[in-house]
Amino acid sequence: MRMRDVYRTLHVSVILLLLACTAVYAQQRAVTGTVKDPSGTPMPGVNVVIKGTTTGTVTDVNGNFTINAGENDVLVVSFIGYKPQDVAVGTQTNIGVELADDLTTLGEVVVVGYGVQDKKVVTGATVAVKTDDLMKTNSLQLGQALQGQTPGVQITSTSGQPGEPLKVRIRGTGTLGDSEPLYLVDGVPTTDISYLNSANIERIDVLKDAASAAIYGARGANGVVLITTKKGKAGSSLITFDAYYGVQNAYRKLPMLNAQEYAVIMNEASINSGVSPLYSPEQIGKLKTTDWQDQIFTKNAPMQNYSLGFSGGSENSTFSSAMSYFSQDGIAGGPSKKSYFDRMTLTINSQHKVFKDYVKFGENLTYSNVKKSGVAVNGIYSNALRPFLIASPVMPVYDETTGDYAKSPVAITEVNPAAYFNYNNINKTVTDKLVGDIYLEGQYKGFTLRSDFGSDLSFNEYRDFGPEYELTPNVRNTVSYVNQNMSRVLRWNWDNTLRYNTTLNEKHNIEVLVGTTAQQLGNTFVNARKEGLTFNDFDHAVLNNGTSDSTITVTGNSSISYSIYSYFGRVNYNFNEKYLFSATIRRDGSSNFGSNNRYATFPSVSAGWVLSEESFLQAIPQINFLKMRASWGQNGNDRIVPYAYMATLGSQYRDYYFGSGEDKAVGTSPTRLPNPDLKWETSEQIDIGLDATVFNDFIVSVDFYNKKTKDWLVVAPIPDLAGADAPWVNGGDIRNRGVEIQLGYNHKFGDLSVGVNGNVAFNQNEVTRIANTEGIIHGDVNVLFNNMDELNRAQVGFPVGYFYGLQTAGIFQNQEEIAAYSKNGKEIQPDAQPGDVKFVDRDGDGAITAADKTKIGNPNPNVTYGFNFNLAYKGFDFSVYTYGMGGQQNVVGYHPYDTWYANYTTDVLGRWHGEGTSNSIPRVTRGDEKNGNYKKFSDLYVQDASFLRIKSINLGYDFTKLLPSLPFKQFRVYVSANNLFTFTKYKGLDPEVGFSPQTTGSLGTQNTQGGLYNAVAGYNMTSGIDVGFYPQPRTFMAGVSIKL
Amino acid sequence: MKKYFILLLIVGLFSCSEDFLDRTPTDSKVAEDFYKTPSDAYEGLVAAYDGLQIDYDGFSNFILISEIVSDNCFAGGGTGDAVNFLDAFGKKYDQFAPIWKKYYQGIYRANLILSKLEGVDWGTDSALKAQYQAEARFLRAYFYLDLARMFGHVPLITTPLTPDQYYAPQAAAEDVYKQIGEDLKFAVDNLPSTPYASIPKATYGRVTRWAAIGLLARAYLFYTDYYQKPDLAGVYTRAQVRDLVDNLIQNSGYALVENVNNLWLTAAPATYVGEDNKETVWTIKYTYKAFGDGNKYDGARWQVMIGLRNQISVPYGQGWGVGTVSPQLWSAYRDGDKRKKASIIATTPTVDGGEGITITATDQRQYTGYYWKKFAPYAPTKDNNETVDLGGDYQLDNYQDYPSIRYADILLMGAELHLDGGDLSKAQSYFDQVRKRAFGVLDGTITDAVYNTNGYGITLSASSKSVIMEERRLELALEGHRYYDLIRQGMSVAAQAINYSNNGLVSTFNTTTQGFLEIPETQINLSQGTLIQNPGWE
Repeated sequence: MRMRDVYRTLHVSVILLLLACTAVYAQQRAVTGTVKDPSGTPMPGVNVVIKGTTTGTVTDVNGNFTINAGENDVLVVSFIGYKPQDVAVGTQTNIGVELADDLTTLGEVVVVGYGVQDKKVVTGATVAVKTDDLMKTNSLQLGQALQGQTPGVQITSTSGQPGEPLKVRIRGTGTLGDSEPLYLVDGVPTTDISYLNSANIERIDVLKDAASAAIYGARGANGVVLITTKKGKAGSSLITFDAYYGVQNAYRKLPMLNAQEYAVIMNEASINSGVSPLYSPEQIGKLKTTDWQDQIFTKNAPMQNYSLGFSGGSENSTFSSAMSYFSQDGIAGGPSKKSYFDRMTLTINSQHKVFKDYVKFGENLTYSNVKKSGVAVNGIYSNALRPFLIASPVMPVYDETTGDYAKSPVAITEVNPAAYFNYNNINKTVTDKLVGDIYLEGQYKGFTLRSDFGSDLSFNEYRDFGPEYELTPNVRNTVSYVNQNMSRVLRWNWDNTLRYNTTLNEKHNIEVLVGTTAQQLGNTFVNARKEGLTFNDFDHAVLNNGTSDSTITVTGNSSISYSIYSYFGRVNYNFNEKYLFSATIRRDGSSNFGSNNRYATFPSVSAGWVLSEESFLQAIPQINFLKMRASWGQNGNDRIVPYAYMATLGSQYRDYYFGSGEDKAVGTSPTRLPNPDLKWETSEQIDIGLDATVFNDFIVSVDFYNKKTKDWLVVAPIPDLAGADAPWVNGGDIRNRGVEIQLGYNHKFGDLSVGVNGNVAFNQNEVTRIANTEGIIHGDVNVLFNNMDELNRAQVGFPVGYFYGLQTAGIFQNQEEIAAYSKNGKEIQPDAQPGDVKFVDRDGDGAITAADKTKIGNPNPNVTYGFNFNLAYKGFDFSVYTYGMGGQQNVVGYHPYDTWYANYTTDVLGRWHGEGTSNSIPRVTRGDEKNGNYKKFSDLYVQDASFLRIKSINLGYDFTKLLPSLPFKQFRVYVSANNLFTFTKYKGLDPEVGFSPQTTGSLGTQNTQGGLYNAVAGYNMTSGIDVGFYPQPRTFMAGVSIKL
Repeated sequence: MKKYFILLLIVGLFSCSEDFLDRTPTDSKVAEDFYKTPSDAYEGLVAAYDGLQIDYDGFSNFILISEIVSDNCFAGGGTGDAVNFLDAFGKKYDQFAPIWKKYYQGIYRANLILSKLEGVDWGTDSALKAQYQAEARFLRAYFYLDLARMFGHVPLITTPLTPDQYYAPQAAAEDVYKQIGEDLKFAVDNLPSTPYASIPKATYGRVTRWAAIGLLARAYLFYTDYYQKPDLAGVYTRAQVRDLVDNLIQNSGYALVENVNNLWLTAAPATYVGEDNKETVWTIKYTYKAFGDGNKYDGARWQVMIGLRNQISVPYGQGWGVGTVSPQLWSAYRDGDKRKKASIIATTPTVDGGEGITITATDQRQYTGYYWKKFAPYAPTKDNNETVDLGGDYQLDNYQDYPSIRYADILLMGAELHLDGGDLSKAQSYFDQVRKRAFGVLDGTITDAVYNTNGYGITLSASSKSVIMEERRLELALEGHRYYDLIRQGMSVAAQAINYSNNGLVSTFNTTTQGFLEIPETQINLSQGTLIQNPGWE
């Protein structure tokens, strides 16, 4: 630049500056204004500053401000949690400002481990569900809110009983042991989230890929679910009230045979088994039918929820408190309502600035009180529903003459299910639980030091009662008893993190986080049983009323059984929000492993590229946003019983009574073979994803992943000649790979807003290694009825827990077909008769043997999907939420073929009863045909269980739109229906069967630790075994949602 | 200073002591700290005894399985029960897995305590060490003898295994019996010859020298007969065993209970002589004191199996009707033989001695009209099995001991040992004691003269082995011995006795099995190819 030019520039600048100053000075005047939040509430404490200056003011309690400003000034109105807004003063004297919620902190951020991140720069695969969606589905349980909304998260109910846990699988079953994700509520790790009320939840974030979960290294292997409870906002106050009331019913019953049909089938079975028919035609005409399902299913079981919340705050303190009451009766509780769940919660969350802007203190606390009672829902023996599905319809409920429960007219061994139900399932659990954290956070020049102490403390009391009864010679209880159990479980964690944020040259955004976490789990329990009660009712069923001295049983323990300590660090870097990079490393130490393998390191890296920031894409206006991302990482899993690596000795169950049988000698021997080399299970995952917004309104997100779980922690069977229970080993590998696609369209047409969101996830599960020579972990035997072979297994090359049995090829129509089904002139099924099942001789050895068994079904869905539809017009809102699963099968096991008098579903009417009558359902017998039509586990049991469920339909209207003068921010009244339709070919009560037998493998006793290791005590490797499943209810409800 | 304080604070927050991760259980011991004192050793020994009681499902019991596969019983039970297959030596997936596991669990516990005895501080009490060692070795021999008789080809494990040893192949029978012989030799040589009257009551059920001699005789007779060997795998000769049995008979103080009825609880509830009577050389103890805790395995879980199906008929308690007794066994007893009604319940009144019990269960499989009286659960009134009255569970906690070695068995083994190259008069004397007791000479029901005039007596000769075998069948019926007495006489004898088909009751022996049971399929699958299935079961 030449000297002259310099002067000219300077000259012009000075003149301009003078002009400006003159103008400002000349037109300065008092400007007033009011700041409101999006709901129209005045906001106190809002900063109003003239842009480019330090001149400013703060709004008063009514949201009003006054400031001296010139016509050309721009006011910057800002408040934490809201988008700062620039307002040109112009000629206005009274300025109205409505601040919008800051999407950076509400909508467009993602909660990641130890912090939040702008969604735009996230490089991992995460998915969030926010409060609106949570509330609208009115899910009975929090976890169900995620159903159908989060691709790659498969959620199955283990039972429709209120308060029962859900089975959550993120990106497939990753291990044979505990495959549940890690739950963190406001950073506090917990195993059970049924204590939470969805009205108190701000959002749920699911971390699916390894890189996102890596910061939780330990226990993140099966994914992480982060739950954030509602927080107060500075400068606002909000009172919310939500209430609903609903009625629930079973959405279908099994079509059982009526008395006449039953008699016909029993006669036919008897004749086929060479026994005289039971009923003459005359007798058949007189039989009356009992519909047993009416005796167990409660009609219009009520469900209700009330929650009241207060939140608000100032610049210095914010709070959010809520109380709620929820109660739900189960639909299979019988006339005495033995299945219910009652929950009261109290939440107190607050945060305070204690030293200027430098130090903050806060806490999140939720206390809950849960009372529940449940009917047995597992297996074939302790299953309250099953007897009602198989009882003979010719047995009346009550004896007409005596009024007592009737005895079976068919067999003395048949139990009256109503009577059995009445005398059993008498129990109650009360849990007081306090989950929460307190934290202190200091901030200085980009550094943030935070110390956060959390605890999950619960006290449980449990009682059950067994009255005296005699129903059949062997189903009886000759002496009344009570079991009483008290336990206290404390899990605490202490997390300390140091974070540094900086931006270099306005382009390099760097965040560095280092931290540690320590966690510990301890529990105490006492359990006692006494017999011979002096009262005969549940209220008086307490130990003090037991009179029998000889039968008191007491167990108890108190221990701190588990602790972990971890260090972690993370670097997030992005260049101009265009090139993104993140790396995490975590080193975990767990008390579950010996000192040689106690620590393990889990690294991860991820990167992203926001293509839409590139100039070559900015030319295409249809592409609003486009990001590609990729991640790789490892997570650990240590969820096994404690002390598994050690040689522990047990004295329990090793007694011997010498002498006259009175004096006990205590024995001691190893409980389990030790494995000092036991180490962490590792899941390693690659994820490649893409997020895009196109044509303004369309959102697309696609992820491909390949997740390998290595060194499963498992009790792999070893030969019994080792002589003690098998050790825990790192016993196998499993692979889950798949694709997840999320599509959304959201648009406003004037007053009409439309949202259509769908997602689908495909997953393929395969076991790739099992550390024993046969490469198999066997499933249980006797699952459907006594004396039945294993029906599922984990095996290399197959999906975990797949159904394993014989294939069938129709029904033998006549003797010729039996003779023709031969090999080298020898009949393959010499014991068969016309009407029997033709099994496939897969190995061609001329006989039906175990070698002919193969994969005949898969309990793991290969596709899960959801489709949600929202419509809002003025005050009306309408939404439909659906979800479905496909490609999985269930084992239909509610008919016990070893009990000849058990009732059948009407399907049996299509049985073979003469040539050409059926080629799919064999003849009926008393279960003693030599061919073993049903005694051999075959594809006759396996049914497609794919389904699409309309999870909820909601219609609401907000009266504040009609009557703006109402003092409410919202007054929404709604009706909704849950589980209105289920589209499925499956014929059972509910296709969504999460039940699986807990294959105990070589592990002897389960769950002696007061319920802590439920899922790890056995292999929970399968699903979909329907032995009489407590179905999910269909619910109709009406509610109101008020904000003041 | 302030800086350092903050630094210290930060370092403090982020550090942890290693102890934090050291967790040990509060309710169990840890192996490194145990097996130090004699009382630790005793607890380890008791755990090995406890192996005798383990019974995972009641079906997988040595007595029950052995009786069903013999000619004494059918499988019975209900139509859906697993034991059905045993009548025809039929394959049923993993049918013997529980009993296989049980025995190896016992062997493991015996091996473990044997391996730990050296490390115990015995102080001055070196005799105690020898005693515990002898007891543990006896138990190991007992487990192996049952296993080897049932399965024929079994892996021989004599130490606690390390993971690389889990895949042990089956040992030659000679090696297994050699180990049994040596273990028993140690017990015979190291245990004192305390006579019955001097054995403290509190130690009934513990292993004695007499028990070791009895088990030795059993092992010797089975091994030398079945495998056609001259001696017990080089450890004991016939003469040595015979001398030991004579020694037992002369010096142990054991004797026959006078009235055979009084031996069995339900045969004579009022006059029952009780457990650990003078005839009980060694017994496996059971108790009702688990009080329904199915994990304890303290009860005689198998007893409920053989009870009357689904009903009580005083004094017989309720059960599942498994192992229905063959009419052949009932008719094998001569009139006047008190053992018939002491051993068997005949329900039908038309049968001589029938008790007129109507079985109401409609699903009793293989109903024969005969049930076990020996070991039948006891119900003093029509309401409950006595187990229930005592606070136990009728399914789990029946409590009658199993007298594994009874003096009558000793006498008959003694007679058998003397037949071949021994003292025939001794054989006759031992034999007569048993038989005369059976017909009531001992308790005075009949006189010696009547016994002789009625021709109840049998005179033995060197070739009277089959006579002794028949006497063993009658005397030891339903006590788990019959099947092994049959197969040691050869496959054709066993087949002839067991094969039966009449009135829909069918039982078929499979000679290609050589009398051995099926090795559990799961165990073969898990064995890395080291376990080979027995012939006839492939």
